[in-house]
Amino acid sequence: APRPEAKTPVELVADTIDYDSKQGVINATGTVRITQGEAVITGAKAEYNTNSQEGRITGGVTAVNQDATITAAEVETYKNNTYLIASGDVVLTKGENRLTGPRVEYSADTQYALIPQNGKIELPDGTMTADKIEAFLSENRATGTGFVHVVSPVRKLDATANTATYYGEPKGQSKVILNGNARAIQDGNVLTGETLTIRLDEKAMDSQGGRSKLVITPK
Amino acid sequence: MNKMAYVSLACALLLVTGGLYYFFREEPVLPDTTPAVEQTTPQAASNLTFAGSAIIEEKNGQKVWELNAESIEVDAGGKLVSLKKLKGIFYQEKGGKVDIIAQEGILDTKTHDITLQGDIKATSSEGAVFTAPQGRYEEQTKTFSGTGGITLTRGDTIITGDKIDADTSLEIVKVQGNAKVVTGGSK
Repeated sequence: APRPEAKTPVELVADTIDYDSKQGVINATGTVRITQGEAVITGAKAEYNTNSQEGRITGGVTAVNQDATITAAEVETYKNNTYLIASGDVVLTKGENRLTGPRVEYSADTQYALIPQNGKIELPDGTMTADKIEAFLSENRATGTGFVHVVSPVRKLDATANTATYYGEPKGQSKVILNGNARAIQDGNVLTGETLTIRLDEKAMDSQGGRSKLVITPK
Repeated sequence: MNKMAYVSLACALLLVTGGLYYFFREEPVLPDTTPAVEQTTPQAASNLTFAGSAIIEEKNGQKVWELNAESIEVDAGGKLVSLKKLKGIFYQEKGGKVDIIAQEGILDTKTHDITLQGDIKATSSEGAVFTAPQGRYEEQTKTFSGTGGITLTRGDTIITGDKIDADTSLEIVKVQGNAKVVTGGSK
C-alpha cells in the first residue's frame, strides 16, 4: 500500500526492539509504548510497520486518544494510529459513554465506534445492548441492530426492538426510536407497535406505523 | 664450542623462525611493503609496531574488510593487533560497504574479531549511520554490536538504546535496553 502521509512522527519505546529496515518492520517487546500526536498505546508486545504506519499491539493494551480510552487484549492500529480495531474484552470509554464488546472498531478522526457483535453501550440515560452497536460519539447518538434492549433505571424504562436509535442531543430532548417489534414499558405502562418514539425527558411515548397497543397500569 | 652449545643454538634458531612463520603464514595478508620494524630494547617484552599501514582481510579473492590506522601494535605472541585512530571498511556481499571510524581497535588475528573503543561511527553506503562508545565486529556471525548508548539513523528513522546488534549492512538490528524508535513525520 502506498505510504500514508506521516503527519507527526511515531515514537516507539520498549525494552527490546528488533528492526528490519528493508521491510520497515519493528518488533518490540517489554513495556511497549507507541506515541503519535495525541495517540498513546501501551502493551506488552508490538509489531509496527513504518512503511504502512500500521501496527498490532498485544498484552494488556491501553490506547488513549484525546478523551477516548480503549483497553483490550489486542489492538490493531491503522491510518497513523487514528483507526483502531480492538479485540478481547474491549472497553471504550469516551466522555460519559462506555462501550464494551468482544471487538470494537474506533475512528478517532470521525469519533465513530462500531461493535459488530454482542455490543453494549452505557449512556447517561441508560444502557443499550444489541447484536451490533454503532456509536456516533461526537453527536451523542447510538444505533443498535438486532435484539436491541434498552434499560433506563433513571427513566424507569425497559424497551426492546429489532433496531433502536438513541439521540442524546439536543440536551433536554433526548429520545429513543424503536423499530420493528417495538415494545416499551415505562412506569408499568406497556406500549407495543411497529415504531415507537420515547421522549426520555418529557416522559412521553408515541407510536407510528402499523397497529400499536397501550396497556395502562393504574397506580 | 662443545656439542651442547651447537645444539642449543640450533634450537633457538628453530624457535625464532617457527614463531615468525606462525605469525606470517595466516590471513590477514600483511602488505609486502612492511615498513622498518622499530625494535624496542631487547630485554623488555618486545612489541612490533606498524605505523600508517593497513590490514586487509580477503576471502576467495574478495576483500572482506580493511583496516587503516595511525599506529598499529602487535603483541609478542602475534595474537592481538591494537590499532589507534582506526578507519575500517567492511565490504558487503551485495556490493555495498560500511565505513567505520573509532579511537581504538583490537584485532584478534585468530578469530578476526575486532573490538572497537571510543567515538565509534559506522556509515553504510545506503546512508545508515550508527554510533556507539564501545563496539565489536564478529567475524563468525558477520555482525556489529555496540554498547554504552547507541544511535542508528536511517532515513527518517532514528533508533536509540543501550545495546545494539546489527548485520553488516546495518539493515537488520536488535536494540536492547531503553530501546526507542522515532520514525515518520519528515514530509
